[in-house]
Amino acid sequence: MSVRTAKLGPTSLVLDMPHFGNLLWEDELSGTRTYGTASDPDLVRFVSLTGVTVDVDLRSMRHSVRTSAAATEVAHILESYVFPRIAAHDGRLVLHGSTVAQSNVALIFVGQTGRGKTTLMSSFRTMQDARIGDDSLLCSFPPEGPAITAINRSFRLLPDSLDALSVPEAGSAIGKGWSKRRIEIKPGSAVDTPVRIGALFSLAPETGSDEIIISELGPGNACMEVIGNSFAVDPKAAGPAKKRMDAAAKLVETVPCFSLSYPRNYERLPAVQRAILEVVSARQLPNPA
Amino acid sequence: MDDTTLYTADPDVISTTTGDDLVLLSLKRETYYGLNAVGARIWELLQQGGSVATLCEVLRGEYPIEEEELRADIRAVMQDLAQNSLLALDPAEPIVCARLD
Repeated sequence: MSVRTAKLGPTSLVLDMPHFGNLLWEDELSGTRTYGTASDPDLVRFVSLTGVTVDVDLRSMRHSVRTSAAATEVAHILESYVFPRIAAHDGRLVLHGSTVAQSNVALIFVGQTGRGKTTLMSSFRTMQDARIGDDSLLCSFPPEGPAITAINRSFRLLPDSLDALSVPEAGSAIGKGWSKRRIEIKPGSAVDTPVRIGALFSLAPETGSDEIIISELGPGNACMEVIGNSFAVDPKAAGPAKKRMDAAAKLVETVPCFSLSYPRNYERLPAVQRAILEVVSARQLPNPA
Repeated sequence: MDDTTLYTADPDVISTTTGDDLVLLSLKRETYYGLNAVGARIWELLQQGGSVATLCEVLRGEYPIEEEELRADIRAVMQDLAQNSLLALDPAEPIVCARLD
């Protein structure tokens, strides 16, 4: 036997002692740094966006902007890099993934950036009464089984994906240096209340073939995929990490988890959808379609 | 890996059980690891410390396989764990000192 190894997912930590507080973590992608100070009420400041602050209490997150940066850029950074980590700060399980729900059942797609989560979610949008959520998903554990709620009310796609998927909205440019466009999710179309999770698919790297490959994950591998695709403010904080790991284990105990690899070919998306729904149907899981 | 050297599980590793498997997270390395049922049992025993030899003694009564095969399996798991910095030398292990003169 061997020890299976994986690096933690969308987490980043750089310890430092700058003059304006203790740096808790730094996100290299966005240049976002989070500081903890006893005297300063701002939880988050931005290196590249001077004038943006985030205030947090137990129930809400608000941001104020005193900067020339585009509002969409600020919103994007907050939604993608800050809010999920704040939501996960006490060890709650926040997945880096997308979801599509119909009736009272949701499918979840997790995976590293570029694996096609948002594309897949967008392809399911045309299902009747479909609700969606993207990027950061909060897991909860009510008595009836694990549930998911989307934190964001928007998603991001490259312009060619918008065309190929016939997304009716043009979206808005995120800002300088961002190629994706940000599309608001309309009220009523968002997974904004907890929905029971029917199945979770971890998107594997593209194989280069035209094959759609779905295989069931054992509990250990599923748990590692979930943890690897979850947010954390400080991955080295033992208390929250233990809570997050236990939540991941609880999730995969009751939710069937699969590995999915599919070709990056828009024309194949209907076949990918069918394959996913066949798996759900074959396992006699609640079918969202 | 020496069969008689005593090791203990690194205290900076946290774990969770899922099915028969165990998932470990090294807080030092920000890396997580998966162990199957046998590995999970070895990890459990290493909480109290042990060597390849002492673990083999315990596990002989639990797994119906030849001792040499069992010892090789335990050695392989412990080598993997050690290579990933998941083990520490057991403090109970005597320290051998050498004079420099």
